[in-house]
Amino acid sequence: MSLTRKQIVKGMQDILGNERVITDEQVLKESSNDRYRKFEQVHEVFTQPIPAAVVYVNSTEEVAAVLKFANDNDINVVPRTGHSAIEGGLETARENSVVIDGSQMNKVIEVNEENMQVTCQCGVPLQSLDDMLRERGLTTGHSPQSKPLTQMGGLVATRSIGQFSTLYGGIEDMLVGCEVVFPNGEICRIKNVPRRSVGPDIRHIVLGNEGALCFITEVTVKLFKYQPENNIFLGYKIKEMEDGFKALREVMVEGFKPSVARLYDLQDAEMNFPWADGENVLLFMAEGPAGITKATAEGIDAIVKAMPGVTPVDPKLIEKWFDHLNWGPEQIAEEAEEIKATDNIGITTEISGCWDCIYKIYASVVERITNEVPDLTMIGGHSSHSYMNGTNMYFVYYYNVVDCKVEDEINKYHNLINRIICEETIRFGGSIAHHHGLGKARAHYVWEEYGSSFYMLETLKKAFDPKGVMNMGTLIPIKHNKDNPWIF
Amino acid sequence: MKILVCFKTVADADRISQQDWQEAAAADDYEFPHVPTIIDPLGESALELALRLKDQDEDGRVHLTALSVGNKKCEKDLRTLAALGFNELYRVHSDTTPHPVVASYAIASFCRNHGPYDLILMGDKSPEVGSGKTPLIVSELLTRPCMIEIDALSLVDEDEDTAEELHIHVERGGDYGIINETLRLPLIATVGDVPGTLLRVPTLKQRNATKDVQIHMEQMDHTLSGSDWKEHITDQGLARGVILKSLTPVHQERDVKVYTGEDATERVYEDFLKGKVE
Repeated sequence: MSLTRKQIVKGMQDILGNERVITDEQVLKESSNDRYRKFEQVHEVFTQPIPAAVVYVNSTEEVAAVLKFANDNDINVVPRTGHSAIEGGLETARENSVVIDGSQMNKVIEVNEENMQVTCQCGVPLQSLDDMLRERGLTTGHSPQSKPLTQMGGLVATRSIGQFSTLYGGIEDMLVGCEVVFPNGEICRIKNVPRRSVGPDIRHIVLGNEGALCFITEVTVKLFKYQPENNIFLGYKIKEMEDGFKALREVMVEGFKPSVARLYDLQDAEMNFPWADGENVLLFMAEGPAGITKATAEGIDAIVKAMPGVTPVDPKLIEKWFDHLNWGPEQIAEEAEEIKATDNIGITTEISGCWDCIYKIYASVVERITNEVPDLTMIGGHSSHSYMNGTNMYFVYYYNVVDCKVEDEINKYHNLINRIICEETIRFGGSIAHHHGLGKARAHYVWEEYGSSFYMLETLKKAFDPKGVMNMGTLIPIKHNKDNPWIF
Repeated sequence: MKILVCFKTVADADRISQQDWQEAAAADDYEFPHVPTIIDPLGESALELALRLKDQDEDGRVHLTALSVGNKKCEKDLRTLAALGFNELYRVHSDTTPHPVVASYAIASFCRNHGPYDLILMGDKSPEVGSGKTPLIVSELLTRPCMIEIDALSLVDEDEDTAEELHIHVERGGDYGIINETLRLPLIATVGDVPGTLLRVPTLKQRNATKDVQIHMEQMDHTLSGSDWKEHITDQGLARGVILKSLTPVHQERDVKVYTGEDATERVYEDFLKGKVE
């Protein structure tokens, strides 16, 4: 027989004491969702089951005790740190869930400059960590747009990526080792070594598990030298988007490693670059030792200038633009006011694809959304993370919410757009999530995304979370509308 | 009812850094080419109030014209206004941000050539110049009354108007609360910081439907567009006003004192709250 809310709260208080078990109604409501339901958040309409408690853990042992209690009593738990998720991963999909907040586990345990790695607890904010490291001439190399909001545990849990990924890689390339807790209370450490060949790389059970397999308590990531004085910026207008993708591919295939390689379509460019004049925009940043940045910049410049329809722009414009890229609490508060005042809302969805299909995905998604979504005010996007074999596409879209209740917005607009993006991405052979995770929103397309390898994901879930208490609905939906998967 | 709304396209001040301001001050150049542009916030409110008038208009009485004195960047905003229902769109060309006096002369000249307009709406002041002079100088040049800082507008019943005399309801805040007045047109009115007047956003369909609407571009009066404009306005007895000579950032930081221990609450009370709260 399942516990009542009161019994769950009592159980948590017995483990953590009263002060770190929060039952304030407003906190519980705000902890029932994330920015996937941004319109509902802004209007303070809460459609998801309200959790029984938000609990703040201070140690690995406390995490183990809380998880074991939840596992023994069939209580759904939602692990979180920075609360910046945007794909529904933090929604409390079951009644009487417990949100386990690791943000108070915020100690930097060791900066090891000899081995060039830093070990920290899950709640260490990336911004303050990197600021501290930069003062010592070092950097994590990880800089997502949400850097002012994020914390280390969540970054690993969601397979995050940063703006300088083309040089430093995603978080999966940075993570050295970690400590995690499974729902039965088992504490596991993966040690810190440069490489190993001892069977499957079990870091990848942790990376991107989105709180559906384990709770991450500690991470060790690589360090890099911070040498901003050598940075070189490059910017271009380019007439055709397809040529822009070709330029990105050429840069990667020729072996150049800029830290930033971005392509904006003209709609997205218009919002970011006042000098774009109705054209697409390509921009690059070369980072690292002076000799390498110079060679990288010269090589890229030669490649891009050889493409048709290219006009170089003053690099200073790119450098200045970078200073204002990140999103913090002020921008989110300002955005909320604008949404309330205009009922116009902007959202992003990111996917990836190989070079042979990325333009097809882009063009097809833009065409379908333009034709099928009502009240659309903008659709565009940019590529911001490139690889030898392909790149990502970050769709940006705005719509007016017209003639519907707040709680109906998600199905009338957001889920419909998500569906189109997922359908077209899968149709052309891409991946439906590049770095925001599946969450609960895109989990409805998990079978199409994984194909025959879904067996492996399902087996992992059953093995590590046999009772199904870890962030249920994330990665694999609790309920699935097979005929209309976008309605949930 | 012919309504002219004047606005400026300006750099988004929220995206101008401290370093940007210092570099601009040193160079006496406030164009910020790297910063995305927006419609000046008070001009945006004026545009939205004009659209709300059109929303009330069931008889096709309201004819909206948008005007900006500036460079090509403002055409993006004029296109948005076309999609939202503005009937005519004009840009008086100026390579750089015009001095308020220059802008006023340009607006007055435009009104003489294309008007008369029954109502001229504009923001109280622009964020980057902030002189607040433009509406008042336009008012003097056109010898029309100017009402500042209105909050809302509404149409009068058609039978209250005659062919010779049009009216409009104006709402504004005063020392004794909200004042509602019915005023005779023509009138120049300025809009201050009015909550809830962000400009609505056109859909892509609205944009596509108006993508071929012409934006009329006109050259500024040659006596104002050249380098001799300062002499021109000096001849008119109009001083240039305040010139920014230097810019020094204000050092801001929060002073934090951490209290710990069982008596922390009592000590916070003693240090900060005693005598200030019951």
